[in-house]
Amino acid sequence: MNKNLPVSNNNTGSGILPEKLNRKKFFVFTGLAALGIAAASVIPFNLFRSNTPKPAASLKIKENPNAVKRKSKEANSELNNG
Amino acid sequence: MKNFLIDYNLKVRLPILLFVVLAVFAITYYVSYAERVGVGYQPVQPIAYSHKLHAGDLKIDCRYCHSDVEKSRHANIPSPKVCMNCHSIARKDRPEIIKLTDYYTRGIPIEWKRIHRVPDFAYFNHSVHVNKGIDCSNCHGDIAAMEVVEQVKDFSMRACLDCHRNPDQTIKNITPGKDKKLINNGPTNCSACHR
Amino acid sequence: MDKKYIDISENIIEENKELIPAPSASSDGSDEPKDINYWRSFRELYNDPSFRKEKSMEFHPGELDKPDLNTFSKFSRRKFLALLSASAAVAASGCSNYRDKGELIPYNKKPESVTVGNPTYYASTCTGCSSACGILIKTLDGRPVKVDGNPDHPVSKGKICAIGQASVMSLYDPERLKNPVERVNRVSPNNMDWKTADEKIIAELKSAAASGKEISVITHTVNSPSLKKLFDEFAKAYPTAKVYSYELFEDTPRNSAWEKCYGSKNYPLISWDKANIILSLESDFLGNEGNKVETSRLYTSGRDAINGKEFNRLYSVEGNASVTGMNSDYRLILKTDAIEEFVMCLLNELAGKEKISSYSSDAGIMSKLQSFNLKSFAEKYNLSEEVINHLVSDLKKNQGASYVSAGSMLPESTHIAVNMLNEVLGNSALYKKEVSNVKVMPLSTREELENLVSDLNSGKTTVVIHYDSNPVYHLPPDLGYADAVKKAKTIVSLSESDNESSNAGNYVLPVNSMFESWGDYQTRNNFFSLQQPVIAPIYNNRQKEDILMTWISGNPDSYNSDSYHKFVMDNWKANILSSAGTDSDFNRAWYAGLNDGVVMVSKKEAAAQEGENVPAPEVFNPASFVSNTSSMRSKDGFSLLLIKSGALGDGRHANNGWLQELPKPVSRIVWDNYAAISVQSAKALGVDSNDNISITTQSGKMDIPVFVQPGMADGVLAIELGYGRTVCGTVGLDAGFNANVLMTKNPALSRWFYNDVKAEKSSGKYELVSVQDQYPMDEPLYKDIQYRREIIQEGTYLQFKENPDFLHDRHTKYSEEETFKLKVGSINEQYKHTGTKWGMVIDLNKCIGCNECVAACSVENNIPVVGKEQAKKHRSMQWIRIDRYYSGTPETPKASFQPMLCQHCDFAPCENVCPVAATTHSADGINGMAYNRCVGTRYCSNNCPYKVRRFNYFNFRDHFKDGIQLEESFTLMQNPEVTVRSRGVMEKCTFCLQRIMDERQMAIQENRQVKGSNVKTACQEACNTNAISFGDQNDKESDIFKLNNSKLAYHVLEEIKVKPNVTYLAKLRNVYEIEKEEAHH
Repeated sequence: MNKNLPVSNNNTGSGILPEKLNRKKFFVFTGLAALGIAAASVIPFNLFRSNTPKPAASLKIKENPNAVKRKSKEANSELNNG
Repeated sequence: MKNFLIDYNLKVRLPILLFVVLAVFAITYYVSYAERVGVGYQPVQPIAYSHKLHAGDLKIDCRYCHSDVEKSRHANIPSPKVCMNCHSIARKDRPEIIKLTDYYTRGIPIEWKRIHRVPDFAYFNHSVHVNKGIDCSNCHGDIAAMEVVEQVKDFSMRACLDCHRNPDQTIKNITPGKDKKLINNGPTNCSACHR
Repeated sequence: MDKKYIDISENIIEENKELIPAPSASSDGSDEPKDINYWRSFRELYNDPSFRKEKSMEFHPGELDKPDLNTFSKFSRRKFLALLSASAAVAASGCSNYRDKGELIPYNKKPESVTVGNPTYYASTCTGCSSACGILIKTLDGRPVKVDGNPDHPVSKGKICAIGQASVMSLYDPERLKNPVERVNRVSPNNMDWKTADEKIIAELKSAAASGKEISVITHTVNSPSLKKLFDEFAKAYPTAKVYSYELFEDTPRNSAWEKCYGSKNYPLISWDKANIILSLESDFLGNEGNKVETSRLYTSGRDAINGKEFNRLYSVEGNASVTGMNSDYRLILKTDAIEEFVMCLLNELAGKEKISSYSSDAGIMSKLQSFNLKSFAEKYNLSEEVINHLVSDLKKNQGASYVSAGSMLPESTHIAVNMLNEVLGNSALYKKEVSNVKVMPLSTREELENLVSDLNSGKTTVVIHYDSNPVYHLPPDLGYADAVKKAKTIVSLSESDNESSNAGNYVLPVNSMFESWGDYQTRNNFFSLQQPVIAPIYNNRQKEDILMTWISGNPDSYNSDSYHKFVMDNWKANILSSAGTDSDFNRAWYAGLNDGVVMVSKKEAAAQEGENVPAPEVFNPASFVSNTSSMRSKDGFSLLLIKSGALGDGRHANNGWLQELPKPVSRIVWDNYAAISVQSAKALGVDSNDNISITTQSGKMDIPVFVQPGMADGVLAIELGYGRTVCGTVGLDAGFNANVLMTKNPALSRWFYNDVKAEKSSGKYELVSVQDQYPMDEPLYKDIQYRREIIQEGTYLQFKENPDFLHDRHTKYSEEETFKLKVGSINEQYKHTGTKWGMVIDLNKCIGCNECVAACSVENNIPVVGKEQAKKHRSMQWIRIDRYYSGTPETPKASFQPMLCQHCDFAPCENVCPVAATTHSADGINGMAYNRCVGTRYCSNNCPYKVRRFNYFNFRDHFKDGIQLEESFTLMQNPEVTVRSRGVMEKCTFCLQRIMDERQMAIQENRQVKGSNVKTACQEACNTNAISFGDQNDKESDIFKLNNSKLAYHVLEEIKVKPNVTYLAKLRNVYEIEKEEAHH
């Protein structure tokens, strides 16, 4: 290495590399996390849901019972069209 | 010094990155699987209607109640009027039937929980499939054996296309009286379902 | 020394030595040179010792102290974030089950005839205007979603106008009145219940009748026999009641002229399809005059190039630039007040000089015509002599097979002259003898209305009932109704929504729309039309007639929602279907009538019905012509025409967003009205489009923006009425200007035509939005661009007859093989479309540019209303548009109309560039859109050569007028068979894919092949003239196959070889000159 090349003295690896995590701690942590997820997926959170009913539609559509439905869209050939 | 950086990226950052990406993908995939595919959804219905009893033991044809399936895009849920065809007399002392009769006499529609749903931007047409002879159980499973109906088939677009492209393999049951030869490959162009 | 530069710094230092302060020995002992010119504080300037000490310190006391952790919050950032995420997770898990797919709610008791998902049709009658056309209402799940014409109705024959199409929006308008309202002190509205309302009103009615005060019922045209009977009963119950009826647009000049000439009160119906030559004098019969649905169909039956019948020829003489004029073969631009003189000159030419009729021997008539000379008239008004010669010779050749139509706004004297002209030409053969209009109840005369106003003023009338009418807005202001009505003690308005008249009153009662009402109508003598409700009243509204019946009975508890239904049935049993002997016969006939919507009347019964509406005797009274005096000539100033709006009618549909957004066919302006003015007149006044002018007539004055309309006569102003509503829903509130103020009750000529109108430039501008910008027609770049690019291909009828292949002879180079050879490096394989291939043919001969297809498409496909601001940015979402191209000069333009929609190109430039494959081509020729895949790149719209793709820049339903389209009632209006698009997706015409899929469903259900002719797209169904055809191009039997291969078929922008599936049939103008058309190439 050429000593004349400008090299920073600041970014040595010493500050960046985290301290090694204890292997045991890691497995304990991930194991508990997995258990937690499994438990959460089983617990019926629905019990906690408040059953507010949906606001009922204020408009009610009602067919008129006396209206006569037309059988087809086509012209009625029997009708005497003037 | 140079080696260190590459070394660090390769040995530490890259595996962590890959792990995070894979983990997130896997979690999302599996957590959303149920919603995406819908299989296994078995909600509680307002009236404990048993298909096993009616369609299975009593052998009532699907189309007796879901009568418009051959005429329209929707397979209609029967109105209580159809139920009352029998249940105005049959088992009218049972608690569920009393519930049903109450709905009928008071004129309140029954709010069934929907199990099978194709998204709103896709338009599925029942009559086209049923009229070709594709039996209900191909998509809805063996309903006649279900006390409470659950969804058994994947309702994602992939599953629809699998059948459209390969009906011979995928369609197991044909409605009696219909010819299997009627069924050709289904349309696979977008505008067949997406309007 | 090789110096590249010259160093002059030493020179500078030398020169400026005295300016640089020498380091002086300062008294305070500091060794730095002090510059007395720059100091930051007094302390520095005066060499404060503490300042000097501070200068030597890097950190001031206290800066480096460690922070006191006790002053910080106990909650660290880390803790906060952890808590935040945990609570979010808990909240999220407490949310609804993500698997929840909603509910399925069936009927409680499903009627057997209903198939869920399949539409049900009901025949009924439209009451958007007084024409009472028959309609078929399509309902899905009990909700009306679409209105189309009733094929059994003899007048509309399966078609309906834009107002009828868009009327579903009026049904579901969230700004409809929902409850009866009492306006305390006529200011603050309070909801009240029906019983109280009925009680109070009945009390008022009774007291008015008892004290002899008049009860005025004001309504629009009464064309219902049962309603008339009901009014009679009302008058029996309250003897002082009187019914007034009015319309903003009437045919009074025409009818009174007819009465003078022939003695009967009814202008006859015309057999337009039998006319070979039609001369339109300011008569917009293809636009907004008469029954446009019928007239346009009959007119275009004579313009069918493919089926071989000889074309008719339309001459138009007008001052305004109307749709009819723009569709005419020959157009003479003439100031409206000169039209009567023109008619007299024609009469002189034909009867006087050519002596074509027996009237030529009548001395009285001849002496009257003597002073007129057609040639000098043409010279004076700069009319083309050639065209006039053609007109005269055509009329001479086609006696008994032509028709001269005078506009409704022209005064009586002109109509008398035109009646004479038609007589001379023997055109009375075209007056229908057996079928005629019927007036169930005549409209009130001007005297009657004036009496009403004076009675109101004097207090003789104390109760006014606005029976679904808006006289405060509609009646001419100098009649004084608006002020007079305020003097009445009680004003009751029965109306669907708030309007100017209901705003003046005490009680406002919500009434049923036409979808919720029973009724019967008679407009012609040969049939009756029935109206039935398809849906129970949505809000707390009641049918007008039921309300009236409660009042008649005098007992508010007697209200029954079925009472008018029974009343109509009883009336029919007694009078109309009286030939049915037994009850069961009557029931059968009645239900058959409701099924068909129309009950035809035999000739015998027709004669019995008519009473005073006897068919016109053929005897023309020449004395009427001889004694006719004309005061039509204007002295100076402008001639003003007040025109009916094609989209808003008389203004009652102002709150309908779809209609407001429908562009006017010729000017393509949306959302506003304006004063149309010619190019030269605008220059003379010193105004340009969007400038305000102020117009003064004898009764009123108003400011209105101007629009420079090519093709108008100089000195003519044309304004559409129906705008400028002041009390209406939010949609219609800021739209346009109220030109009713210019009307006068006592016009010299007619209520819609005024002479000697003063117009001058006023201050200010108003932005008019036109969806088709006016391009500079004379600029070489734009001139005739539609011809040069062969977007519009035209020819003449004579050219076509001589050489049917004339169109294709022009383009021999575009053969199939050459197409491929020329297309260098085609990235598309030519796909052979076997099987069904959907295609559309649009016959430009029949398209009159009325924009009805646009309205129908908007209803069918859930097109949102975007509003004026967005329309200005060319973001209106209509999938089909009618382009209007001008050619010629701005003073004498020719217009060509062309419906433009997605061409469903086989080599679509849009499909190649979608990065997510949201738009793809199907094997049956449809360019489909999968909205859920679209990410909004807009590359497809960029590539589209026809610019037919519309992008949802906003969720317009949310964006327009504070999200009014998101109101609950509007969600009911939407067609469930079509996706409702949201922001960020591209949409375009889908060839009504939902209807194609319905046909596929039917075909599979019936075990047959798909039949192309069974599918009718919304635009095809709506087009009054049947210009649009749709179907299977591979079906050799179909109409569309024949049309596709006809000699006139061409594709727009054929040279870019995108192979569109929409074919156009070239327009043939029925003119004598062939050379002129060739000049375009």
